[in-house]
Amino acid sequence: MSKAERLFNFRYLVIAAVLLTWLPLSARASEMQEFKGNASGTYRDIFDQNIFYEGTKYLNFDRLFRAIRRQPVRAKDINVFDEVPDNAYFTNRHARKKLSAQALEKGYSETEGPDTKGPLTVLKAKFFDSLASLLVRDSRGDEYVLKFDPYSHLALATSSEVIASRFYYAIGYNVPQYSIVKIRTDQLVIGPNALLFDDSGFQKKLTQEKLQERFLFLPVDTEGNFRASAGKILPGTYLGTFQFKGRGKHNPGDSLKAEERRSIRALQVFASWLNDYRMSRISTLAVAFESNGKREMKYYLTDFEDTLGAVLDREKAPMFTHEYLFDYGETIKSFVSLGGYVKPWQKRWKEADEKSASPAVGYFDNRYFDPGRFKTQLPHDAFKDLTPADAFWAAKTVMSFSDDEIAAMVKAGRLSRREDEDHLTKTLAERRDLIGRYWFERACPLDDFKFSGTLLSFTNLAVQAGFQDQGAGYQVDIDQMDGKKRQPVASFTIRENSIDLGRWLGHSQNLWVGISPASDEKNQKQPHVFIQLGSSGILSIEHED
Amino acid sequence: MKPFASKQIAVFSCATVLIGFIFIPMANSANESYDRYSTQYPEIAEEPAWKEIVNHALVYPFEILRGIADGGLYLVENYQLDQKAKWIYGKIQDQGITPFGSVLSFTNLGGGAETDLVKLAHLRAHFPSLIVTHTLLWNHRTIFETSAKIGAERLFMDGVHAYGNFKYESRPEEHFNGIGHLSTAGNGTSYKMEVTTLGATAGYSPTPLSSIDFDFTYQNINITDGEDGGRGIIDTTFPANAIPGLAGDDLITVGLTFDHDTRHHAEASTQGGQEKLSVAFVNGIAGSNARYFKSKLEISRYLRLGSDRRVLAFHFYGEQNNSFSAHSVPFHQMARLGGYGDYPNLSQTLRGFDNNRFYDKSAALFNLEYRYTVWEHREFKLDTVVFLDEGQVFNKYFRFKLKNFRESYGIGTRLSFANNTIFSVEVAHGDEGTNFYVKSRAPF
Repeated sequence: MSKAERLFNFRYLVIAAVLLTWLPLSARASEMQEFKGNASGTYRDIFDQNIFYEGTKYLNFDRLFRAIRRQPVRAKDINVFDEVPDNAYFTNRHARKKLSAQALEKGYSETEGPDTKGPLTVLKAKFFDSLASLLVRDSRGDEYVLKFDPYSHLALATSSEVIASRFYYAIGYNVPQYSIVKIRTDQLVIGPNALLFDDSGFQKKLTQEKLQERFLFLPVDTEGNFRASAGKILPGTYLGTFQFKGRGKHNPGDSLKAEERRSIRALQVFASWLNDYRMSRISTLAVAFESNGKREMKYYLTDFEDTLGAVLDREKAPMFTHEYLFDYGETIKSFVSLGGYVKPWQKRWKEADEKSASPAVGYFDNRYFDPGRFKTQLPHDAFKDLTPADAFWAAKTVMSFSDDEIAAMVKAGRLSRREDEDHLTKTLAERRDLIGRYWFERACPLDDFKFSGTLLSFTNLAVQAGFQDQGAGYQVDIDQMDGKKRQPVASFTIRENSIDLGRWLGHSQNLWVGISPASDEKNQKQPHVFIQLGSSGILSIEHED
Repeated sequence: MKPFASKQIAVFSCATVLIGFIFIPMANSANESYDRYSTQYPEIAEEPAWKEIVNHALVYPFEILRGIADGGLYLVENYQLDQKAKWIYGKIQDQGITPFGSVLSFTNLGGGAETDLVKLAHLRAHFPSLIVTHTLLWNHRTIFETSAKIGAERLFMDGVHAYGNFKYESRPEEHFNGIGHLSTAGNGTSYKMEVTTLGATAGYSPTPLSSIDFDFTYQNINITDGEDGGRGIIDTTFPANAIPGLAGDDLITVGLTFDHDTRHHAEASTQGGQEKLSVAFVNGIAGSNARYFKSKLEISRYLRLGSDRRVLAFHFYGEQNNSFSAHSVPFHQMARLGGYGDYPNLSQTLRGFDNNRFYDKSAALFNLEYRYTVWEHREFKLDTVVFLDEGQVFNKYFRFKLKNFRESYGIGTRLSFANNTIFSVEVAHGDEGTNFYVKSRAPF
């Protein structure tokens, strides 16, 4: 190799080194700016999540090694007691303190909904395919997005949106205010600069004729009213969507990656409960607002018309929630089996006689529902990183809702037929139990630890819910801290939900107690929960990932 | 109320509140000695930046591509370029012009447009049955075609239709390897064929599923050297007197076609089938020696195997050209086998062989396809197809022999939307090699 060639190659090496250093640094540098907008879109999201990240996931050494070693990664937004403290994404609500039936039905609420006594001024209209939505301002000056039901499916999308918003809010996520509103076209006044966005892709001036023409294709109730879900425009500055992967670009103070957040990972479980097919960044919103003179961020889940039995303008397609948009694994199974592999959604659709429960409920039942195999439209690393501990946390939140509480939230959908409400309540309650049973089997289902005197007591959520009987009791392993090392001091089985630790407490400042359901079968590894005890009581709780 | 009593009550109240403040938290602390929602986080060592760089080292080059793709997709969605394009296409169609694309191979792309002149003149409402259309089709090195059709979908009564048509087509690279099943690929030549057709058709459709059509056609066919530089010259490789029709022909055809079609879709049917029988008498004029009787039978069947997602598709094609004594069948009007399918090519589906690989007076062809769906999303479907083609050309009935069948087999995948094939990739193997096909339609 000549000197010139060596120099040439060296230059490339230098450029490559600079690039490799610069790429991550540039990402960090962008975080120096405060509260940045982050644009996204459906096409981009599909490409990124379903094609790019799926195609390159094993080029990431960290992910590859973890996949080989089946090594889970513990969430980083959890506190020492294995809970997610209130943050910009999540606020503990129902699981912390039971909300009343009225509060559950009401959900997040700033107003009573659009003031329909006065005129509603239309600022913007979007008419795509069979979807119709309006941005309106009411007489109080509040702005709302009105989304109407598609033709032949009165109440389907609107009730799904409102009901799901109640659930997500009660669980702990931030959601905008959603309510059902019934209006007539004579209540709508076209604003002076109102624009129309339609299938043409060109924006046009909205006219009364165009509005009337479109409303001819929307369903009306028995009183001749159009039904819409009214989503109140949130106060603050909209900064686009938030990511389900990587560090948030909005907030420089946010050092965690989305996939390291239990509150994001657990959306996989909550989405499975609410049959939320399109749970991804395009259904999110990052909003900056002023609070006590400080600028803060809040992250919202929005647009729930793809939940329960609905998907945008129609009933859920049979393969939705069973397969990703491009599901390589399922496609390969079909290919290799020469079409002989009958997919669960195909069996389910056949058993349902290829029809749904009702036009207002859409396609929503629990046949072939598998909490571990529920799939949103796009695959997300955050959902794949869900550990049994994360799922246990989510499942116990799901299990905190009683049948009556579910019914209260379903009531918010204002469905006209009692049978439809009952179907939704029954399906959601059954699904709650399926989720609880599934994830409580995969994690140590012990919770509500209390330490009084020398007695450590707990509740077995699986037994409490009736999924398991007390069985063989619990295996207890006690470690004492010897300097910085943990030394096993005792291992025994108990049948009660409490352990007297008096024998060991005097000898050590810190005690580690590992508990797992005792197994009748030898060598069967059971998931543990570890409790660290100190002189001040319980110092930490950790469910095994 | 007395002041003393008030004082007593005040003291009692204060004492109660005080006791409450002291004992209620104590009682709570006895039950739960921790705030489970506290913001006390476990200590986690932050990973060094270099580790992240190393972990992602292989991904960074692809991130550049992602950036470009994301930018493009964002632009398309944000400015609704796809919606605009769709809207513009719809508007053009509303005017009576339907542009279309045609994929014959990776390198052979083309397109065209069909123009409904009645719609273009805004007269469709006045003349709902009138047909006045013009079609233009071009595919690189394969075909240039311009045609016009005038007639009526309904004449006097329902089901009766009639139209006249004019067509000019130029095929610059028709392949020819000789006549008969023993012809060899080594004799590969190409010729250019220009066909001008003037014809009239009248027919009756007693039901939407069946029709009978009577045709009268005049064709002027010019044969010259092909434009494929890599192949031999036809009239040098094959002596003019050995190949009938090498100098071109003028032909008059009188024919009758019966069609019975119970497919529920032309390209991706899962049930029913099609039977098509046509018979024609062809006579050469203006010095042409052609005079023969042409008969063609085409049968397809689609069997659903327990589900619409598994279909066994069967196709038979038979053609017989019987020349009258002292007359001949021009080679360009003979039965042809090879390649992917018949339109815009003239050759029937024998995928392991090149287009127009076999010519002869007669042909028998069987195609069997097992089509199964491997992915679907709403109206999008991705099918895998495993196929076997068996075909042979022969001169006379008694020359038909089972051992002369040439077979090809292969596998492919077809993406369709609402049962219209958008894109297909297939690979076929025969004893002369392996062929790849990229198409925008299914062969039958």
